[in-house]
Amino acid sequence: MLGRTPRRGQLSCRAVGRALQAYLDDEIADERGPLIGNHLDACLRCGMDAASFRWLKARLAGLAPGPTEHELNRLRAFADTLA
Amino acid sequence: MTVAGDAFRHYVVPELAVLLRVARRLTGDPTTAEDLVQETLLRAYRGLERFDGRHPRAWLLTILRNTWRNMNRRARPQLLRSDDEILSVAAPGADGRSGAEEQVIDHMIDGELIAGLRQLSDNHRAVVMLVDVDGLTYQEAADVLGVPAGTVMSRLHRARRRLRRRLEQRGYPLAVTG
Repeated sequence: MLGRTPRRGQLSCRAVGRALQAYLDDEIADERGPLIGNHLDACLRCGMDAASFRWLKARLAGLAPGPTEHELNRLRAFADTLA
Repeated sequence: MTVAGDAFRHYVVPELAVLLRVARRLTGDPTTAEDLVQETLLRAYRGLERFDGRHPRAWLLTILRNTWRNMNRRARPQLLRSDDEILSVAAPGADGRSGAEEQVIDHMIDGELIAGLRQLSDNHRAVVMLVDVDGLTYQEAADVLGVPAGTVMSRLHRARRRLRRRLEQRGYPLAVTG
């Protein structure tokens, strides 16, 4: 289905679009979460929108390496001197 | 072993990696970042008895932000300067993936994303770096930046759309490649 007219208990494409980033970031803890998930499963356009942002997030997460174990060990050693 | 020492190990030590990542964003320099984290640890240890045990990461990030302000009052958070060396594109093949063509495309996409990040405003780049690259929650990023969580969300929304548009305009098949 391309775009959806919401029924009772469902969300519109516009409402899903407004909450989409927060949904993808696991920032929605209320009842909208499952409703958004259902909408993304059923609505081709919103589902593709979400897939492209998920992909973007995954690419961004891989851009910068985290601290090395060597760097963390130095900080752990410093923390040990305090604790 | 002291009670304070136990609490420090329990609440603070598990957050070292996040603190160092965020410190790198704020300072734009690995050496200064480590100094900043060490100073943050000192302040956290001294303030431990006032900490209620809830949301240790948020507590530590607030100390980190305030410490950075005190260390360098006139400096703005760097959050990926144009000459930032912390972000860099790994050479094709460096991630161990097979397929020469795939590696080249990955390399090109990463390069486009970094160029796109550099073209964002400081505010937009900051939220992408903290949330998407460093993995902070909206509230944690808000604590670092000193803005409401809703502002983090709206900036993130606009920034991601700009980055996505940039890739689309250059013909990258989003959600298929990579």
